[in-house]
Amino acid sequence: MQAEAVGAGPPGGAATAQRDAGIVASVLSPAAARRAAPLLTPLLLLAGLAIAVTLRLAIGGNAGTSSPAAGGSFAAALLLLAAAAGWRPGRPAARTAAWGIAGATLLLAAPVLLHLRTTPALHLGSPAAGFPLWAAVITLVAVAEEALLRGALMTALLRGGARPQGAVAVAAVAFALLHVPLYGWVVLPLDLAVGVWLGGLRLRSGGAGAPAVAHTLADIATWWLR
Amino acid sequence: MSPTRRVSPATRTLVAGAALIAAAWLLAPAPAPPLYDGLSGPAQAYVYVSPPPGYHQTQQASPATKSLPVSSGATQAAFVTTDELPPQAQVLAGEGAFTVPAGTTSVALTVTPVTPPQPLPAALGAFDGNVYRIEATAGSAPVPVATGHPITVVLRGPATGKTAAMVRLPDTGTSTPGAWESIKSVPLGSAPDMISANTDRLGWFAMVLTGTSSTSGGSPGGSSGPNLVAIVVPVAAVVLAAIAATLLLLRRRGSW
Repeated sequence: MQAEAVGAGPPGGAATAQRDAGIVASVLSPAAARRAAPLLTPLLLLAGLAIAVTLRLAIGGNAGTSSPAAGGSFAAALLLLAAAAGWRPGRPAARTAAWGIAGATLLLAAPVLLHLRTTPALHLGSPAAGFPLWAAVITLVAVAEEALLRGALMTALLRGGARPQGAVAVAAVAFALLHVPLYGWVVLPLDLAVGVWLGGLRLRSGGAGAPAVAHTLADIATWWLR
Repeated sequence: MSPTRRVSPATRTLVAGAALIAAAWLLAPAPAPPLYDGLSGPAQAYVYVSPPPGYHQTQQASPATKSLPVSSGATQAAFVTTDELPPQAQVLAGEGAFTVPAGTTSVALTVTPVTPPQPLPAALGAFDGNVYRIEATAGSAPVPVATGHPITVVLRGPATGKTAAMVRLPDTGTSTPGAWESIKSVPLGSAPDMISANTDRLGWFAMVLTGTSSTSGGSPGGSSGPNLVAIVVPVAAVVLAAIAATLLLLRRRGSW
């Protein structure tokens, strides 16, 4: 996937802000509408993300993250939001794959070293027969998260005039927070850091494809590293 | 002075991200899994010592044992797990977790699924899965957990969806065991029906159902999961559709 062009902000940013301001002006004063407009699409995406997490928790119930239905529904919700915001996957490109593999290599370096050098941690593993379904759902979830966060959300922020680092930070915080209800606060520091790294991949590669590849490979590796 | 080289935001972000990841791993290693995210796979069906009526299983609950070398009077760290996926019983012992007599060269740490040595008082709930006996022995003599070095016991239950806790029957070192007692336990976040507890005594351990549902609002012994889903899912779907429609509207009125 090679998607959105990314930079300090596309040429259409000002026009987009004016258009959003017009919509918001129906409920706000003109000045307030102009200030709020660039935030509208990102805020809607973040609200949608929160609803999608709630949906995942409700469907997963006591099965937690082991529910393929919950994971699939969550991914579908994220892809719907990303598509509604205008995100589209780009064409597969060698450069995207290369950045994705490089990104995954860094993500996996510490876990692999720890796995090789230390006493294994708690075993939460699964029967081998479950791998194909697990891999399919985990790939769908990872790609959907990247489509929404590093795809639609970062694009909306950049088009709204946000600095690249600001867009990365917002997406990283959202990425970290969305995992807290599933795994607990313990994952916050690492997922925040990973969010920054994936955001960097997005800026460097120019699309959400590279972070999607890195994210997917890192998640798939948990099958062997747990 | 040479002119300052401009570093792109992407490069700065990548460097910052790599540094943050390294710091996160060094300062607060994440538990396994999630690495960064993930999805737990389906668990193997629970294997009972004494299956309930009508329950079909083709294998026996597995025991586990590990020999811990003793170095300078301290046992090495150990991790003992039964063979199920995920294991139904896991024991983590840190370095020096056991008090060993002088001259001891190794300690055997054993986890064995057993029938309950004595009934569980009704006040503590009902057994949720097997009872596991956890023993540490040097030769044939039992060795106790060292003071200030509690071991961690993790048990997995048969996925009833109800609130579970852990109970312990301490090994008194005599032919008469102590009494069942509740010990403080915590659920493992991403793994349903797995709970963890630290203990300073060995003996028999089991998960128990306390009679309440793990989801709020349910009647004792039952689950309110379906009701919650029936309410939350349609509402969430409607809100999501509204958000998506608004995003589409924004986009179609503009030039994206």
